[in-house]
Amino acid sequence: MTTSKSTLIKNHIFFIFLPIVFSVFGEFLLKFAANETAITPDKAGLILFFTSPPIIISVLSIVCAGLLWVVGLSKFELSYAYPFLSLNYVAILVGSRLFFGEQVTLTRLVAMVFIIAGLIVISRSPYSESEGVKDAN
Amino acid sequence: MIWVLVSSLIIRICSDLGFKFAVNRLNFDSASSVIPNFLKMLSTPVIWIAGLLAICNFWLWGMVLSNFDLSFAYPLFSICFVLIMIGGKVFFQEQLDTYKWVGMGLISFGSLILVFGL
Repeated sequence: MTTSKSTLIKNHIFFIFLPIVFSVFGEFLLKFAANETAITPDKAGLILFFTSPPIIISVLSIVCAGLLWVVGLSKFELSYAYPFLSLNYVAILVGSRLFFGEQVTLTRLVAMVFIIAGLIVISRSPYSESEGVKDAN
Repeated sequence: MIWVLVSSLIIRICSDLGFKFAVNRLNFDSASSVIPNFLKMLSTPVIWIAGLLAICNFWLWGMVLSNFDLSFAYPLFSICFVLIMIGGKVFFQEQLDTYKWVGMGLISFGSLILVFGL
């Protein structure tokens, strides 16, 4: 193995964080659009869903997130990278307060603290590197 | 509307494991390796199945959002996190050490607080 754990994380951690930024942006746009129109489980709902401009932009943003995520996923263990997606919750909580005026109560703040603490603990795991990366080195 | 939530959850887990399977052997080392790697990825059938599942899931997720509060529906998906982590061990021989379990426990607890509001 030629790359140490710290170099791997330093060089590729963007591929975990950038997808989160893109997908949170996409989610908010989607929620905004879903608030405006009722999406139903029939043909009309399907057409409505895939022709609305905010939904198309949110799809594109989520696709970008997916492409970047692919790179991150190839570098890190699934059980290491995946929990970082829970940062989405934190971002969504902050955003739903900012953009949709939903309440952020004390209990939700406590929940955020638990999630962030969990991520800090996971980030300390020595098992971060994907098997494929180890083989290639 | 519970079936929308449950099917969205199952489909999401399948597609995420599929994505990992398709990219597991790729090695993005330099900017020039990006295109050959994506081509290699696109030649794996699993990526197409995972992609299709992800598209299905996106539509289902739209329905979930039409029917539930974002701050309720979203944390519920922390069930995925635990299942995906176990999937990593079962399908990709990943190490689940104390850091990962404790961290996952904290995240799940935090998500439960979000779902039930306590």
